[in-house]
Amino acid sequence: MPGILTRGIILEQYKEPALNRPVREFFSSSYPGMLFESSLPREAEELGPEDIIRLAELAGIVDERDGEPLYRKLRQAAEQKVQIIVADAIDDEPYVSSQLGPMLKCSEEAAEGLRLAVKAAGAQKPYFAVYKNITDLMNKIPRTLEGITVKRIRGRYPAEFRTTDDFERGTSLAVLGVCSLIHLCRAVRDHRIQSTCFVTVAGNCVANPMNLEASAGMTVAQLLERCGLADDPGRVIVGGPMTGVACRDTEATVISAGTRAVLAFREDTKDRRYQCIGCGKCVECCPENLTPFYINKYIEKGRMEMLDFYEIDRCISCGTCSYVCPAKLDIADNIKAAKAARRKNTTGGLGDAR
Amino acid sequence: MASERTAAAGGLLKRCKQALAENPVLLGGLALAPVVMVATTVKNAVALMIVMACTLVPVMLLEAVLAKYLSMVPDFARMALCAVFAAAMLMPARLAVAPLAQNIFDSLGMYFALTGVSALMFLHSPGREPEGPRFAVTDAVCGTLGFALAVFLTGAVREALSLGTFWGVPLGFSVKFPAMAMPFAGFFTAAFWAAAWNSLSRLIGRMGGGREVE
Amino acid sequence: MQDKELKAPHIRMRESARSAMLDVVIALLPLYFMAAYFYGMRAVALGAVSAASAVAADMLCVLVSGRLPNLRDLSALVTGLLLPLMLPASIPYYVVITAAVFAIAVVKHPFGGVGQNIFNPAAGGFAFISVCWPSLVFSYPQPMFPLPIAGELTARLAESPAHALMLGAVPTIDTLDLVLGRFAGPMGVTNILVLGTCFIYLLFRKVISWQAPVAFLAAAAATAYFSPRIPASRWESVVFELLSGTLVFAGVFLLGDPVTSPKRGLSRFLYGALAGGATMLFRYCGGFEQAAAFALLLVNSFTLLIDHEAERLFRIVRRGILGFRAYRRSRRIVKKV
Repeated sequence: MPGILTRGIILEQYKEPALNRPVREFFSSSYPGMLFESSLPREAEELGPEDIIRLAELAGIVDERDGEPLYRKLRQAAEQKVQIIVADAIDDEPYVSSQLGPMLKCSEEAAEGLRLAVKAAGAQKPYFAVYKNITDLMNKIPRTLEGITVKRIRGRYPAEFRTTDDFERGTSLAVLGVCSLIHLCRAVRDHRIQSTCFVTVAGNCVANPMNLEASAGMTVAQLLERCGLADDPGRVIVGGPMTGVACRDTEATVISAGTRAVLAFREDTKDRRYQCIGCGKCVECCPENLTPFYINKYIEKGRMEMLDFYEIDRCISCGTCSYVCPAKLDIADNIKAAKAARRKNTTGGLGDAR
Repeated sequence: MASERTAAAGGLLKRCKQALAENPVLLGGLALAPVVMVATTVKNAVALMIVMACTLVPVMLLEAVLAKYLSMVPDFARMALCAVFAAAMLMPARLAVAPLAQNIFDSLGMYFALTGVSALMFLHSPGREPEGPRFAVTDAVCGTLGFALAVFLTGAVREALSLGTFWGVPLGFSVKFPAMAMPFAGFFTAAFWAAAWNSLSRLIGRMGGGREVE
Repeated sequence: MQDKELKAPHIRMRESARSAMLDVVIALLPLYFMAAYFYGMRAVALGAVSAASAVAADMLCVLVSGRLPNLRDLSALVTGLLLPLMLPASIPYYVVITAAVFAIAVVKHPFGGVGQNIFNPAAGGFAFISVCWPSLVFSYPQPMFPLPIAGELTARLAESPAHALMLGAVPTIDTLDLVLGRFAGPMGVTNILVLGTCFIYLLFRKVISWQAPVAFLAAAAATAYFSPRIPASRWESVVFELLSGTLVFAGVFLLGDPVTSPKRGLSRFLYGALAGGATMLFRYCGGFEQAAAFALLLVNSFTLLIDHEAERLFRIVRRGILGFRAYRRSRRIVKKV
């Protein structure tokens, strides 16, 4: 059974109460006018696969998993003749439920979008994928949603990159973000351009944590104000708590289609830094089976030539090594910086790998 | 004339200071084996000093005086020749060392001969020009002094800690550490002295730095 | 907002380096309690003196190297507390102080310092003093006779069962006594039951790994089973060999120390097995009756090599088995930022 022996860590998910609340709207004033012109019909049955892809292109839909345009992914899927389309609602980072929430609350649109994607790519089966290890849910996630099976992805964090393990071997599949599918459904029905994104606003500083559908271009400060701040936050993060970026100026940072969450925390007490004590916990939990202990040691000593031997390019930047480090070192960050420095040194290489 | 002489003297002084600050044994790692293994008492240390002096100075002088003829000899034979000459110099060394103690050669063991031949290593100590007979005598004296210092410091510490004496004279320590006479203790004693000498030489270098640049 | 850089991930586990060391100190306390029960308060006094000198030496070394001492770093305290448990309760104070200072100032800091040292400091300190004063370190007082804290010791000193094994004789101690530690031996090492409890505690707190101690005991037991050196049955030989001397203590506290052991589970197995084999080899052919500390120092020098070769092996594994999975994943359109 997949997921039992996976490497990684078990995280407290803290998705409630944001997950249980309805997805609220937070639009800018120009929202109603964000439509595009097209002569294509608005009924799903009358559209061909190429039409759906064209509508996705006109609407400018972006997949929130990786920032790639949806039409390009659908076209690739059609060319490679994938058999299964999976709508990714896996939120394996704590606090973040910006895919799971809309999937449950706007399930009709999500299912319709998924069926459209299946038609566009010429695939046979649709699936929803959710993360199994969420312990504090108030309502159970149903087994089928609008007639489509909901597949549970097992395993410890990080689970998103292991999605394909839970499906049968030999089947080819494409994974698309569920929010982009909701936008696809709206593009087909109302010819609406994607101008919003689903963002979770949560954290122990936020008075009313919830999932918002906010217009792109809103500042972080506006979102936090909408949900109410209980205290002056010590740390505001754009993105998930494991891989997100700390936000220094909430008035100047805006959200975009790829933003998943805005989190506000009170400052942690006594975030001391120690020297590495050589415990090896980072090695035990790395999901890609690397040795962050030695990589970090060589980065700190400046011996970059050893990093090839330790296969630093396989790192998926999940942040697990920094999480378990008892000395609170910034291992994941060091590795990210080293990878960036190496890529700069070897310009002209292939485009982004991982 | 006078300026040339002072320039030459300045070069000599600089070379001496260089050789003494960069101790060939502690910082250069040459001839460590006798230091680590047998420099366990001050008597042994003095014996080793005498051996090194007796072999190093003649070998360097030989290389200086006969440089022209030596360069005609092929490579392998040159080293062999120097080695034989150094071994020959062990005979007066033996006469000089014998009066130190009854069983001095038992405690030195094979390192008596080894030290004699180790003198050859100083021919290639760092900072020395490959075929420079100009400063042969100063190089030899500095090398001997450097080795003497290293071996004396190690021997003194090890004797004080393991036997509680200095040249056989009890120092009045109540606690003795017999393990300091063993080779592993020799290694880390030499290492600690090397660290101390390193910081000292850096300190001296910083102090005398201004004057050197002239 | 703030000036300091806040880097991902922004949530961390609650345990810290300090809590890991604190767990080891807590695990050592029952051993001190048992030692005090057997030998009086002198055991606790020895522990306190050793810990104090280790911490002082550590602070001095850190100051000499130009850094400020970190008061939350308890690794010197752990080393200081480990040392007296391997020694007899009748040992003079200067021996313990020498061991602690040697362990910190010569074995730990010159070879790397906190988290980077190659050799286990407690094992190094024990090795040094057992070479210096073997008669003091290897003769033990009888238990249940409390010793005075300071001043002259007039207790009768005996040899431990390990000495009997070295001579090739079967120790004349009841097995129950052997397990409970009611015989002349090192202070904290004899009570196997308490050691077992400490081991389980440390495992659950995830401070030590289970692979190295298990492999160690398995290798030692296998060697004792297949080539016993005393004229007794094989199982008795295993029992005596395992329960005498510092073997179990070294396996739990010294071998499980994550700093000096390799970092991967599989490498730890190899490391533990090598240490077990080396210990038995030193016991059979060496000059000292208690060989665990020496064997440990020997195997510590192989840690880096084992890690490097394991990395080489895992590169192939990653490309082979795991690479297969990654290759399958990448064939399907899965992308992660």
